[in-house]
Amino acid sequence: MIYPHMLNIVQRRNIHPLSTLIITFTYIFVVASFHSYAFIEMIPLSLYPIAMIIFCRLSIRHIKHVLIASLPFATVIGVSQLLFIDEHILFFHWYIEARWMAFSTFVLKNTLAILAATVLFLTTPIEQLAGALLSLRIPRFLVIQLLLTHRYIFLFLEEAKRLREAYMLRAPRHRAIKLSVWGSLVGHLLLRTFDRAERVYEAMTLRGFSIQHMHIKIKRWTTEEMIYTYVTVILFIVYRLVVI
Amino acid sequence: MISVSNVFYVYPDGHEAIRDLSFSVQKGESIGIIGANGAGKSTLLKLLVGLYTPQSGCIVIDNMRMSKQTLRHIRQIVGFTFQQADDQLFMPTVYDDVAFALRNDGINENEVNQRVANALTIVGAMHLKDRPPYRLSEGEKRLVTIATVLAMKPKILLMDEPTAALDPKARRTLIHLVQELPHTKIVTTHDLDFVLECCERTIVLANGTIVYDGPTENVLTNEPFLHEHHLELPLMLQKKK
Repeated sequence: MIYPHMLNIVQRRNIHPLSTLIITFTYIFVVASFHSYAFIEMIPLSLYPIAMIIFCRLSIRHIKHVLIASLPFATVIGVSQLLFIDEHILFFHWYIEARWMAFSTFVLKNTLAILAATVLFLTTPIEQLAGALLSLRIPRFLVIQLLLTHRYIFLFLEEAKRLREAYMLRAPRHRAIKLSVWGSLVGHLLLRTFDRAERVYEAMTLRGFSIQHMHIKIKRWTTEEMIYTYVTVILFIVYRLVVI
Repeated sequence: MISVSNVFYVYPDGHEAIRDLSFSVQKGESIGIIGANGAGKSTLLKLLVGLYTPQSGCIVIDNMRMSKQTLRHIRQIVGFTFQQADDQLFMPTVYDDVAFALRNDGINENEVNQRVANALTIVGAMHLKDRPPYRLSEGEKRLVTIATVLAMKPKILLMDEPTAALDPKARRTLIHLVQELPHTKIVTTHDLDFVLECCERTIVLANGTIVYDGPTENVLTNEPFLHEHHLELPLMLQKKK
C-alpha cells in the first residue's frame, strides 16, 4: 500500500531533502561498514542508486563523468590493499588471492558511495540540503560555509572553462594544456575566481546578506516522506545485519 | 538626496581613483556619469553604496552620513546593479534571486511573493520567474538584476554600465524601463545615446575628478570637449559622412 506512494514521492523528484540526506548517509555508512572481502554481499546494495537514477530520470552522462573523475583516486588508494595483504581466501570453491578481492571491494565501496552522493546532489538543490542540515541541528555557520563553498566551486569551474577555452583557441594543435603554463594558468584562475567571488559577495551584502539573517527554507516533513525514509533506512540496516 | 564632498579614494596598489570629488543630487534627478576607461566611474558608484570607503571626504545619502552604523540602512534605500549581471545573480531561480534581499530582511513569504511579482512585472520579466538565471540572455539578465533591486523598494538606483553587451532591442527595452522608473538615478555608461535619452544631467569624469557637471545636451553636443576626454558625439547626433 505504502510502496506506490513511495514511488510517487521519488518519481516527482520532490523527495524531502531530509529524507534523501538521512537515506544517503545511512547508505554510505552501511556500504563502508562491510568487511574488506564483501564484494558479492555488496552487489545488491547497488540497487538503491540504480533505482534512484531510473526513477528520478537522472542524466547518466553527468554520473558517468563524476565516476570517471573519482576512479583514479579510488584506484590509487586501493592499490595499498594489493601491497599489504598477503593471504588467500575461499571464494565459492576456489582459493584466490585476498589482495585482489580487497582491492575490488574497496573500488566497489567507493563507487557506490560516490553514486549515492551524486544522486543526493542531483535530486536535491543545495539550498534545500542546507535547510535539511539546519533541521538536524547542524550549526548555522557551518551550513552557510557549505552554501558559499558550493557557490565558489561553480564560479571556479566557470572561470576554469573560460581560461581553458581561451588557451585552446590560441593553441589549436595542443590536445591538452602544456605543463609549462600550468603554474601561470592556475595562478590566474585563483586570482580571477577570488575577484569574481568578491564581486558576488559584494552583491550579496548589498542585498542585506549576513550569516545571522540568511534565509534558509526548511520544508515540512510529511508522514509519507517520513515512512519512506524509515522503511528505506530499516531495509539497509536489516540487510547489513543479516548479511555479515 | 545625495551629497558628496571632497572625497578622495586611493586603491591599495596606490592608484588614485577619485580626487577631491564633490557634487550633490536632488530627489528624482536622473544623472549620467561618463568618462574614459579608468576615469573613476565604477569606483564612484561603489563609494556611494559603501563597498569602498573613502580615505577622506564625506558622503551623505538621504540625510545620513555614510558610516559603519548607517551602512545597512543606506543600502536599503540605494539599489545598485553591477556591470556584469552574472555577478549579481546567484540563486537557483529568478524568483529566489529577486526574493533574496527580502528574505534576508525577514519579510514574511506572502509579502515576498507580492513584491517579487510586482518587481518582475515592472521590468516585464514575470515569465522568467522559474528560470535559472544563468540560462537567460544578457538582456533578460539585465532586467532581472533591476528587478532584484526594485524589490527592495529603493529610493535611489545606481546602475553600472546597464546597456553593456545588450542587443538593440534589449537596449531599447531597458531605455524605456529606465525612463519610466520614478527613482533618483545615477548611471555610469559609455553609451552616450542612452545618456541623451535618459538623463537630464551629466557628470564627466577624467582622472578621478569632475570636469563637467550640467545639462546633458550642452555637453553631448560639444564635440571638441568630448574628444578631449576620449568621448565622441552620440550616434544620433553624428552626421552621416
